[in-house]
Amino acid sequence: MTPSPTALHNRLTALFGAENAWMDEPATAGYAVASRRPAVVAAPCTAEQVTAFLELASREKLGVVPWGRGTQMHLGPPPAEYDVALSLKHLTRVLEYDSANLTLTAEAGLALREVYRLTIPGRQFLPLGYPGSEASLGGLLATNTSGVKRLRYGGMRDLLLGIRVALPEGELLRYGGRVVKNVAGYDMCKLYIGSLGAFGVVTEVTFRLAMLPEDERLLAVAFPTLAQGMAAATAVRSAALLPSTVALVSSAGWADSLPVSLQPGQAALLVHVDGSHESVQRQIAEGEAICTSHEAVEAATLSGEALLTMWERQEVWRTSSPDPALLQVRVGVPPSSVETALGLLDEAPGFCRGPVRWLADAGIGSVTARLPLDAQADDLVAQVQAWLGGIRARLDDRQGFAVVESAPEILITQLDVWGTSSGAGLLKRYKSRFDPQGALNRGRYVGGL
Amino acid sequence: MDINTVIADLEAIVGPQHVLRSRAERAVYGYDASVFRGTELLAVVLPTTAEQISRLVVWCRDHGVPYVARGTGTGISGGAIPTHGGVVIELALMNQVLEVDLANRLAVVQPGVVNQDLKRSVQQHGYAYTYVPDPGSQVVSTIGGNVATNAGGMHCLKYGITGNHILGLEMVLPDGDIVTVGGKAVDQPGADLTGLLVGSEGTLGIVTKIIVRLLQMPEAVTTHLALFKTVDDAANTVSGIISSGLLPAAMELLDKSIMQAVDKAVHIGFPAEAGAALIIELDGFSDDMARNADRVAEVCKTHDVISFETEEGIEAGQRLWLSRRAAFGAMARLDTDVYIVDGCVPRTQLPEALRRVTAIAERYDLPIVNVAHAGDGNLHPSIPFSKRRAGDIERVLEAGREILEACVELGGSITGEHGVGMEKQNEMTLMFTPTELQVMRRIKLAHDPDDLCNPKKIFPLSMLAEAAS
Ligand SMILES: Cc1cc2nc3c(=O)[nH]c(=O)nc-3n(C[C@H](O)[C@H](O)[C@H](O)COP(=O)(O)OP(=O)(O)OC[C@H]3O[C@@H](n4cnc5c(N)ncnc54)[C@H](O)[C@@H]3O)c2cc1C
Repeated sequence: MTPSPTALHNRLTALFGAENAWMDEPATAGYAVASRRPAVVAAPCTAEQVTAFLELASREKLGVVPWGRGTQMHLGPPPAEYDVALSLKHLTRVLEYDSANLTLTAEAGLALREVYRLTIPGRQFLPLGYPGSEASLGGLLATNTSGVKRLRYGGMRDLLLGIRVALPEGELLRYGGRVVKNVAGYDMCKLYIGSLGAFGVVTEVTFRLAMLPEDERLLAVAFPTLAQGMAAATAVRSAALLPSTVALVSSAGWADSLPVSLQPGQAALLVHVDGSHESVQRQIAEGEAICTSHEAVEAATLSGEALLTMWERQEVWRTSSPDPALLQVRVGVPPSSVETALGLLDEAPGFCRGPVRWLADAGIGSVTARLPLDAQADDLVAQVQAWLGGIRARLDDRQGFAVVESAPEILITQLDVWGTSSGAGLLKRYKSRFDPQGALNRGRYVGGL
Repeated sequence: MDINTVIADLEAIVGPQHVLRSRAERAVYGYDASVFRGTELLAVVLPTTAEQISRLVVWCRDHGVPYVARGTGTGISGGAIPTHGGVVIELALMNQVLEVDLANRLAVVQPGVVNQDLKRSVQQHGYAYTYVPDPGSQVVSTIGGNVATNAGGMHCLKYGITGNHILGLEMVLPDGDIVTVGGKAVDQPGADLTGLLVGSEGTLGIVTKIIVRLLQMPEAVTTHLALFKTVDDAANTVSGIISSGLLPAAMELLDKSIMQAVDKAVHIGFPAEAGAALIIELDGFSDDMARNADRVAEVCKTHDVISFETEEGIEAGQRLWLSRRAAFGAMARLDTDVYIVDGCVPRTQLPEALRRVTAIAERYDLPIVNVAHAGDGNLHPSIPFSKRRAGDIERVLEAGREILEACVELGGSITGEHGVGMEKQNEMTLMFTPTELQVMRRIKLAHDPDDLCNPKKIFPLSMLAEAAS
């Protein structure tokens, strides 16, 4: 039987000290997931304390929700059991910054912006997120969040070298390491990429870093229609260029701080290039030539501070916790099917009270779309379910998928948030061996785990 | 079990022409490119579809028969060796490139496709794209084997290892289920199962389909051969180049002993004072190539380079690559056998690692020669020996273990690219605590509770014995 909140609070106070365990109203409200609140919030100071806590949690059959910096807690259905919010806010130490070997080891609660602050003076960076990102390193790992420049620098799975992880049954383990080539045994780090805490609490991470480029610039080009923008994106992708990002935005979508203006119905192509001065100059010129031949209406370039600000706004838009009147969906497709995906998403379904706003990474094959919900719509749940099912069926033909990233509680508790996943059977097998009690994030993960 | 019944059952699954049963045929499959050998087999089967493999593994499970997947047997850690008899499942007939999708820069292949053949097949679509991972064995080793070992190669510094290029897999699990992980669209919901299954050395299931990434061919390539007086100068040059902001495609290091061996084999004419050679390959756009090459030359100068040669273009560059490419052959001439150690350290620890290798060589009185993927800190001390000389192999393995201990002490790994197989099972304890190994083994148990799929590999034998009792 689950202990009473007071009893639990006492136990956690004994473990972590009174200053690191709370059960008062403002504290627990701050850790709400949808309308669910924990009985107690606990903030251990070391990986060993995390481990000791998990052992207790699994003995007492508690429902635990690990928290990094809480920027993506809207992902997944709310927890089926929520006794304790396990905050990693004290696990923020940088354990080793080895600039000569371009690696960084830090505790999982550290905000990404702190890594930028630390490494930029040495002209190095961790190519995830953006410089001002509030997200924690562990959170980025657990949500499998890569950076906008993934085409050039690789994504989460390419940059993560090692982890330390606490398991529900009280083991504290290290996998991977600090070297870029390491094939000793199974690559356990990969189990934790996109794990949303299902297989353990990551307490420490090691990443490889990249050198800052000598130069970087963004080419932004407006096109009369989305189809023309898309055709130009395809041409850029198949040209002999090595862009860091190829993205599309629409006039209805996210268009703030772009250096070109978009009329209704128009779309903009964004091509970001990193490299030496010569190679950047050449790629921007070739990109412009391609766009001109695709009937661009306006082109401009951005660099320096303005460029950073633009990406920052875009990333903030994409990753911020959306307001409850929105449905946010992420669609993944092979890059050549981005146009199809946009065709499916661009038209607002009947349950929307305005246009769909979206951002498309045409280089990677990923679209984030926000649909403003009409609260008055009849039978909203059924309508959204039908729409989502239709989209998924069409994406299936293209080997794509759609996940619901955020939605009002009434929807997120009833929708199939993750969709069917061919790997769900394996995840279930692992879950039963790594978290047999289902202590961690119960009900929030793929396959209902 | 009656052998004739076994053969009849297997023939019923893959067809009589795809079961090898003669003594001679079976004996061949007891070996791979490692120094180990296996036990007597029941048969070798050559399936042509995932469904056949599914039926094979179900048959094996029902009869308690172990099985091992095999590509072309070029593995150096004994991964494909049948250590417990049973059936070898050779993937040679599943060698089709199923799809080349240039719009998405990927290809879908069967596991038996040879690495080099995939590259050729992609080039038929014009010379704009290629498949990058290039283990030294690329002319013979299979993509399935590369995936199973997470193979490396010479160009990992810039392009990463096999796993970085694999988007998805189809795998037959030991219970016969055929599962797909990953796919043409990236970041599917859930954990990175593709990443987890890559490098599992045939112990979690048999890979039957692979989606690989293709990359653009670089527009320009420049190759340098730089000679230094000492290994330290060469290794410090490697770190200097990287911290200058350049990311060469490859940086390969040879020490004096292997330079001498290569010189004997292919007559390069290295100057007597040269103690280390560095091959540096830059690739990218033509616009900045000359300036980047100058920057490389500058860094070399600050580390007292004694000679510096440059060639432009892939073809011309081959001349400067010769000493590296000839290294394996040259080693083979030093004695009847060669034992290749594979360890990895943080790049800046390479000089110290090589110093320790030299000390170990002296202590064991072994003529160790060194090549290294220096940009990655991946060293391959290689020990010529003879299996026929009493006591040689024991001494060589002992020295190898000490080298791996040194790599771990310096913050590295017991294997950078060759895998654990049966070679380094006991060295796994240098890197992992017993609990870490137990938890890692939960993955194995989740796939293969009967331990029939390439059984008793990867994990330390003492641990497996304990688990069995
Ligand atoms: C001269 C030479 C140079 C080499 N250079 C390099 C190098 O530069 N970098 C490097 O990393 N390695 C290198 N190797 C080692 C070796 O070539 C690689 O490990 C290669 O990936 C093995 O491929 P294979 O097809 O020969 O596999 P095999 O040796 O047949 O098998 C290797 C392992 O993979 C498993 N396996 C094979 N196919 C499958 C499948 N379809 N599904 C599941 N499991 C499977 C086997 O069970 C075994 O455990 C070299 C070897 C030689 C002889």
